[in-house]
Amino acid sequence: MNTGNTLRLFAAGAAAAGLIATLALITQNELVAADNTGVISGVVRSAKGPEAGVWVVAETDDTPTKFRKIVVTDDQGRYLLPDLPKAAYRVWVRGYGLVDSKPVAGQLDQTLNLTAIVAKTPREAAEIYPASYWASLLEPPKKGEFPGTGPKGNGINPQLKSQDEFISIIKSCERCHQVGSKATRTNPDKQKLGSSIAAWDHRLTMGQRGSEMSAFATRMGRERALKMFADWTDRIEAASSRKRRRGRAAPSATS
Amino acid sequence: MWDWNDEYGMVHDEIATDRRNVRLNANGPIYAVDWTNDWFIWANPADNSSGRVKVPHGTATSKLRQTGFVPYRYFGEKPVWENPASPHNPMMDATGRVWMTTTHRAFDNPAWCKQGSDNKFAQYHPLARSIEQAGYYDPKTKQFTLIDTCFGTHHLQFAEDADNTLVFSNPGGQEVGWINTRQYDQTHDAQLSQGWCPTVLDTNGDGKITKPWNQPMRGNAVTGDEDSETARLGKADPKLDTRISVGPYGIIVNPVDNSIWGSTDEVEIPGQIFRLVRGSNPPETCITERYYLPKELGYRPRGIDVDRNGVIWTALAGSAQMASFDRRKCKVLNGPATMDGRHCDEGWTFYRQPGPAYKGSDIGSEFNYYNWVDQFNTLGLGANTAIANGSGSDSLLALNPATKEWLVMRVPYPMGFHSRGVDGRIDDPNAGWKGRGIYSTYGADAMWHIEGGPQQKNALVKFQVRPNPLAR
Repeated sequence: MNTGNTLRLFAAGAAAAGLIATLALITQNELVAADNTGVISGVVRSAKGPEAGVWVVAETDDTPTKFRKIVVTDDQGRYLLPDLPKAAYRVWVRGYGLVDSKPVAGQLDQTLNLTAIVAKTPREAAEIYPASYWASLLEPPKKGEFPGTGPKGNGINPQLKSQDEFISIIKSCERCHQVGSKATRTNPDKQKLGSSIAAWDHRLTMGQRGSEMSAFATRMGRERALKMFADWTDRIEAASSRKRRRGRAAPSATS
Repeated sequence: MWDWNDEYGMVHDEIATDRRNVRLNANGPIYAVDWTNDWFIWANPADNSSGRVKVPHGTATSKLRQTGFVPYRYFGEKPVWENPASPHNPMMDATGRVWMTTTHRAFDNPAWCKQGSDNKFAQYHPLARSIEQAGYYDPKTKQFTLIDTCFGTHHLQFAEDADNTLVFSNPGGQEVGWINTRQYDQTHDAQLSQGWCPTVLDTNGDGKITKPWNQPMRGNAVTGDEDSETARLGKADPKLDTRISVGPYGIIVNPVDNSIWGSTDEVEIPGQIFRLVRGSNPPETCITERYYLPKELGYRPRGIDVDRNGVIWTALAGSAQMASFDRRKCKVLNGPATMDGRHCDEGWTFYRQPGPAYKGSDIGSEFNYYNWVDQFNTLGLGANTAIANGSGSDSLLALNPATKEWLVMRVPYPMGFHSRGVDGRIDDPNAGWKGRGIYSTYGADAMWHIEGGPQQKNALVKFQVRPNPLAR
């Protein structure tokens, strides 16, 4: 079973248990009069049949500010987008184990069946995993490496006495942004600056809050922090360059 | 989901209603502030529109550097943020005004806050600096009112009392401050309407706080580790009370007894929460209790909220858990045994959140920026549902109050839903799921990390729970 299938089964199982599908995540306009709103509904199918527990996205630029609504399919792949303001919509499917479908035009009160596309590889499916799943591929120093022994030792700040203290500083990055988003799990300056470590050393200084990012790296023990982040993005890049692999190519939603 | 603001701003939080009366502002606009560029913003679900206006900043200057930084990847040397006001959080009062923590002067406090003042709070605990102050926006008049405070501000919450007391957190600060908004509305006298207390433990156990007291030995929050302040505090005079530095990030008022609770978010672990009772004649009657987390079980409280039973909830930013603290379980509340903050481990309960752990660790890679308790069932999962911001996983994480199972509410598109707060409103109690909903925002500093890149705008997200996926 590949990771994508694992995720799809997880979503379907959760739907059957009433956890996700009945917890339909929607955004809606509450006040537009009933005669100015409508629904779009239909069934989502892929080459493997009805797709349960996947998201259907409707978005429009016709409203004064951009508007989106997102719902989840039931265990038969059926969906219903309620209370949509009058507008022309782009409607498409996203889901674990899938790649995004091409948007199709949708109008109010239309039955719109949608075709989902099954991901060909776990890696392809993993592109829409949340950042924290990618962040779980980070490998902090092992518990036995604490307390740190500094730049001439294991590169960890000697003031850090436990792995938990090191991880707490990683978490501090997330006060401002996710760790594991595509912007952070890629390392675009690697070639230009000659190494992954040099590229991380540079990127942690960029922008108006760069000095804060840099300070957190120093607090971890700069040498070890850069090595950890560089190893992380190198492993993700290496996995990406392989055409296909078996087993765990990306973090699993069932972890 | 509605786009609002722009492609650069960090919209920290939104507010839809008075959290004490979640029927207020039914069907009205949702308001928010942009910390990075000083915008007061709103989205109106009634007509799917949004708007914004600049928050006035008085004599304050930008807290974010404007020159001399390493160029951005996307924007080069262009400073995309300038935030002299740096409005941090909004909170709606009973009349629909939107209060906020915001800056409108340099850090140095006026003389009446300092040593030598005849102000009773300054005489008891003088304050030299305030990093951020307060104000409100009145949607009816479209006017801002700025209110000077001696104490610093960051988060803010209204008490359920006759004074409509507004309490403030202040990370790194040495005090907890408040504004009596009833008195302010009557007098428009900022000095008369505010107060603050240092945070002092009753470590001699006589039921009151008395000067002189043992002083904190460091400027920052104490850690409780054996080789840091707690151990050194062990040498303090047991006949005295003990002032501690809590520097709260999160703040809340317990509706059961009007006590103020705060959380200290320090990178250092395990972190602490505290309880402050102002008493009948503050500042002299202010008494603080402190509760460290058992660091072997969880660490780093950041957000804080309370349920209608008075149980405290805090999502742990470090160890990816929800934790509750029930003071009713504590056998000891004051005296020498409270010095180390571990006198009520029995008050804590921990709930591991879903999601993976870091490689080679059992610590989850989730990050909880803050948390919120749905006291009045605005979502439909039941009263007192505790909800964590799954800021690392594009989600809100709801802990079912009956089964203690997690419900993951993922925002799958655009990816990068890094939220910092939640609030909920009931527009129509008779309309079933359609009359209820909770709100949150895309709140990352680096909006350009969001799917779609630097062209992606901020967005407001509304969550609703239908009885089934085909409900109309």
